[in-house]
Formats: sequence, C-alpha cells, structure tokens
Amino acid sequence: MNSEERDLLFASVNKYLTHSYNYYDFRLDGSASSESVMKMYKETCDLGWSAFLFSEEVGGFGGAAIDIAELFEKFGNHRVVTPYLESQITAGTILSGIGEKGSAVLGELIVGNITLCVLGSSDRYSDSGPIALNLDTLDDFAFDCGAVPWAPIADKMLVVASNKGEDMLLLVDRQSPCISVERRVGVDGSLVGNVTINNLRRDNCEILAEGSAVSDIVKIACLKTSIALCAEAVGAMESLLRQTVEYTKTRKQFGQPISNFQVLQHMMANMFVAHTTSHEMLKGIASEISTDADHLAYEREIMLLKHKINKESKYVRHSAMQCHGGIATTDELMLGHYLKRLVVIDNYFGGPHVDMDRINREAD
Amino acid sequence: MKIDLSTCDLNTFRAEIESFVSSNLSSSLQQASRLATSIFCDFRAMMEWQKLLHSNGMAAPSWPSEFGGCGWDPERILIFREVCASFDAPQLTSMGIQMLGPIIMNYGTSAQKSELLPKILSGEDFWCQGYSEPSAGSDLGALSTKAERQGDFYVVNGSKIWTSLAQHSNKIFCLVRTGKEKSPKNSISFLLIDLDTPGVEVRPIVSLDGTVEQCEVFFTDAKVPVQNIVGEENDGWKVALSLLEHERGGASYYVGLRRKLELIKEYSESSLVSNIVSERCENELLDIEADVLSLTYLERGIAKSSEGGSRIGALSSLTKLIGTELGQKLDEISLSLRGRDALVVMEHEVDPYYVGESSACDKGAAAFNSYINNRASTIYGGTAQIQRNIIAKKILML
Repeated sequence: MNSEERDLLFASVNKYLTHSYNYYDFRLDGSASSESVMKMYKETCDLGWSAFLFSEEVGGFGGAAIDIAELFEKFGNHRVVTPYLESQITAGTILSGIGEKGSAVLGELIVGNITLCVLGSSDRYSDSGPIALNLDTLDDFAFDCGAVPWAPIADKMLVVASNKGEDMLLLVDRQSPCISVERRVGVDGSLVGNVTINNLRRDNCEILAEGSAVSDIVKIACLKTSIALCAEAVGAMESLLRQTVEYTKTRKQFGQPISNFQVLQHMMANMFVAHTTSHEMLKGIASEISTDADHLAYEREIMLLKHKINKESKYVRHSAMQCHGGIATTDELMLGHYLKRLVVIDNYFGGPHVDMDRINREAD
Repeated sequence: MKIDLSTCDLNTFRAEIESFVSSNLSSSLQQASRLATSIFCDFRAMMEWQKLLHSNGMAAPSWPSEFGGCGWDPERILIFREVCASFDAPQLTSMGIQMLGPIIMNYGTSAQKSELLPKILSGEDFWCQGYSEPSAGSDLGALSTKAERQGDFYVVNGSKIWTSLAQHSNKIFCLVRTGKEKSPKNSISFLLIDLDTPGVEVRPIVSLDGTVEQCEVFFTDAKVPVQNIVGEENDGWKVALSLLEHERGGASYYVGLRRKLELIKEYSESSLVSNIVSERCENELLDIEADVLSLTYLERGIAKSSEGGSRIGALSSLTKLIGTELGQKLDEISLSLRGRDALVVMEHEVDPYYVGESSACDKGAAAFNSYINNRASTIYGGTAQIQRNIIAKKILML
C-alpha cells in the first residue's frame, strides 16, 4: 500500500469518525441495542478499515504494527465503541497464523460478515492460560470464562484449549449448545458476555490447529492486541489533553482563565510529557515491527509499553478530571467516558499488577 | 582500504567504533567513568580521553568536518554515544564542544572560528559557562554583570555563580549587560573572557559531596578586548537562548540512563543484595526501564527529525525534564540497594588512577555521592519547573 492510498484511508477514517460517529449514539447503556455498533462495523469494513489491519498474504492491504497502531489511535481519539479489537485483531491474528484451515472464516471476518471472539487466551479480563479440557470424556464439564468483551454478538468463538495437555485451537459456533452467554453491558459502553463452556466435545467444534505452534500464534495475537490497546489509550490521552487545554483557556475563576495558573500549567505540561513519551514509544516500537512473527522478538518492549501506558494514562485521566473540576464528574461531558475506557484498558489483561508480573515471568 | 565512517552502513559503523573504543580505552579511564558521580567525570581522565579522541579525529562527532568534526549524521552520533557509554568511556564536558562550538560556528567571526574552534577540540582551551548570577538564576534575564565600552575594551564588573569546572578552565563565555533597557532582548551581549585577565577571580564552592565542581567568578574592572564579543552588541540574548537549547537538547539522556540502569540491575541481582530488597526493586526497575525505553525512542526521533526553531527548543525542555528526573529515580534505587554501605564518606581509593582494590564501601559511597550530586540536575540548566513553564507556553500555548 502506497502512502497516497494510506492518506485516502485515513481521510475516510477521519471523515467517518467526525461526521457519522458520536459516542452517545453508539454506546450501549442498559437496554440500548447493538444495532448502531454493528451497522458501523459492517460499513467500515466495506470502507476497507478491516482489510487495512491484515497483510496482503491473508487478503488485506496493511497489517503492519504501525498500521494497526494508527487506526486504533483514531479509535481512541473518538472513543469508538466497536468489536474490532477482539474480532479483527485478536481473533483475526490467530486465524491468520494457522494458515489454510482458518482462511475461509478469515475471509468472512475481513469483509465484516461475521465477528469473532477468543476464549482462553490472556486477552480476557483475567489471566488464566488455555482452557483445560478433554474432548473425549463423557463426564460433565463446565468452564466459566468470565466477562468476555463482545461475546453476545460474536458469531463464532475461538477456544484456546489444552486438550489432555496438548495445545489446541478450536472453532465453536456461538449458537452451539455448549456455549452459554449471559448478556451484560460494559462500563465503557461495550457489550460484554459472561461465557460458560459446557461439555465441549469433538462433534461440536472444529480443530483448527494443535501442537507446539499454538502457543506462539496465541502469543502473537496477545502482543498485537496489546499494541492496538496501547494505541487506543494513546489516542484517548491525546483527546483528554486537548480538551483540558481548551477548557482551561475558557473557564474563568478569580476574573481570569484558569489556564493562567501555574499549578494547572504544570499539570498540563506533565500530561503532555505523559502523552508524548507514550506516543513516541508506541510509534517507535510499532514501526520496527512489520510481520506478525516479528512481534515475538519485541515481546519485552511491547510489555514495557503496556506498563508505561498503564502508568501514564492514569496520570492523564486523573489530571484531566482535576483540571476540569465538577463538570468532569458528569455523564454529559465526554471526559469521563475516556476515563472509563482507559480503566478498561488498564485491566484488559488482568490489571497493571498482572501486566508487570508477566514481564518478570515471561519476558526476561 | 580504510572504511569511510560517514558513509558506511550503520552496522559496520557500530563495529568500527566498538573496536576503536575497546582498543583505546584504558582500564583507569573506565574506572574513572564508573566512579563518576555527576555529569562530570574526573577531570584528568576526561581530558585524557578527549585528547585520545581528538588525535583520531573523533572529539566532536556532531561538528561539521570543515571545523574539524566528524560531520556524522544524527544516527551515527547516537551510535557513537551508545558505544562509548557501553564501554564506560568518560563523558566529555559539554561546555566547549556541545555548547560554545555551535555558537561560534553560527554567530562567530571568521577570526573567532579559526582561532577558537581548534583549541576547543584539542583541549588547549577549556571553557566554562558564565550565565547564572546570585540574583539571576531561573530569571536569567535579570542578570546584572555589566560590560561598559571604553575604547577598544569592555570593562566588566559583577559576578557569576554555579560556574562548573571554572577551577580547571582558562576561559569563560559570559552573558553581560551592555544596554540600559530592562528587557534582556536588547541589552545583553555574549562575551568571551580569558580567566587570567587582571580583575578576574575564581573562587571554588565546596558541594555537599565534598568535591568542587562549581565556582564563583568575580569581575572587578576586568578589561576585555571588544573583538571578544560573539554576535552584535546587545544581541546576546538570542545567542544565549540557542545555546541553552544545545545544553538541554544536545544531550542524549537515554544513553547514560540505559547504562546506569544496566549496572544497577546487575548489582541488584548480585549476591550482595538480599532477596527481599532485590524483589522490591525489581518492579521499580521495570518501571524505569519502560520510561528509559520511551525516552530512547523520543530522543532518537528528535535527533532524526528535521524540525527546527522554537519547537525543537521546547522539545529539548521535554527531554531534559524526563532525563534528569529519571536519573534521580535511579539514584534513589541505587542508594536503597546499597544499604549501610552507602553511608560512608568516599576515600581516595576511588581515585581512578589508584592502583589496588577498591572496597564495597567506596562503591557504596559513589552511590551516595551520585544521589546527592544529581539532586542538582533538576536545578541546573533551567529547573524542572522552568522546563514545565516552557512546555506550557511554547507547546501547549497556555
């Protein structure tokens, strides 16, 4: 993809997100349906956003880490509610990694005909590994997967499993009797499902891959998910900083704009430091990674990036709220919704402590 | 055939520099660098390394070759610094090569260029910086050292303070007031003064760590030839600000921080540190590792960008702020890892030219001195608060 095509794509992204998207119309709260989100999902896949996240070998026209980072930064800027992360990035990467067997489903995914989610990788709101099961036993078996983003609207589930000790990737239909999903709404306006797997057997799933390759494929998917998440956080941090600077220039107290006060200026200078260092780290790491396999060599850097983002996003969101004062605590101002999403990003892989512990354990 | 270091590929370049440094850097110079507890390494060791670099044409990687520099691109300059740091080579002081050199190239007369630049490189001239005054610190524009024109001379009266390494210097570049206006923009000049001029007196200041790095410099009717002015009379503020950007941004903080982090990690994993302490420090060190990595990408990005003007100046505030605060955090951890060993006063055994065993106490003492000394890093070169003011005003437009 040349730079002209790239500019064209981002022009479409900016136009869509500025004119056709608004968080309040898309978020799911209480009884609101996921119709707008899914309509946008299909429309934007038609515009090529999804294909931009995949490499040419698997039918896309982008797929480098920097492509993913830049699109998700935009999602972060506009507080976009969408299953792209879970479906295109996490599930999409796994399907891309297993070759022939995943290609049919992947094709449907890239064009936006279906959405997927992954069970049993560490992309969940907890940190357990593959789901231990036995596809051949007749004993009753139930596994609680916890809160899985977008599970209620997923058409298919990828299950990262350990079948009698052997790693496996399974594809299960959402409608299969062995999957039950309790529909919930996430704090970030997304849809979440409490998923339980019951009595999964060979006859109600398809084995996409097995053996030693599985764990690397899943790891790559998690690392890519991590980059996309970090990019979204960086985008959200940028919006928070911009809104805070604008607001403090308008808001008057003691007869002058509150941006005249040095204490607030230094808070905003620190927000700038937080955003800029995060952004440069993201961009620097992402631009050195071109293929999916490259991610493995950058495992430590990506994990350090996630840690850095956890820390800086907390500073930015809390300072943004503090500089705004009371108005920041309302549902009416977007600020709080960025804050909520940033907390979701913090806890996405189990929380900042889990992220840190994982660096010590896995990426030494 | 000899390899052309300015054009060869970067891997070859790195290998060449590695082989140069490893075969030229003596163990006493390495020792001096490891025991350095501030940005200034032992003076003799530093000058010895500068002469060695100079005799191989490498004293000034960032200078254009017409002035005796290497003329390397930003990527090569960073690699050069990375390699030097990884071998613990002494860091050269910034006053001559980093700060004054570019000023002379940009604002100096051709006589000044041909007279001064070669002596900066060779070390024959050692420069110190006369900016701060007792009543002009953060508010540098309030400086009051006066230079009055009398015939072919300026007569200088006043005093400078926090003049690093003035006790080793033969020359000082000063900001002096030549105009009557209050605003610094049209009343300050940039003046070069020989320290052996009658009426100039250098008095050392003993720091908390017991060493002398800073001095006061007093001027009483010191006569300075008018041709020692750099730029126009009363137009020195512009020169001064561009120099500050070199002071803040010309550095690459990540290079030193990475090495410092590496050495601290190594120590924290050694048997000298109890498991409880090293476990606690592990996460703090990880946190800093993430920050250092982000600073690495930030500084590499700035070095490669072609951006100029006030934004790059403001970005130099950003890296100065981050770099110095991270260095302080590392010092705190290092201090805590050394425990009671850090609490003794440093003895002569840590002299880089000392032959014999240095004790754990002395290494501990180095951690303490580094901690004490680097408290100054968020004060000198514009305090952390001044840097935040600059970011707020120049970047966020507040």
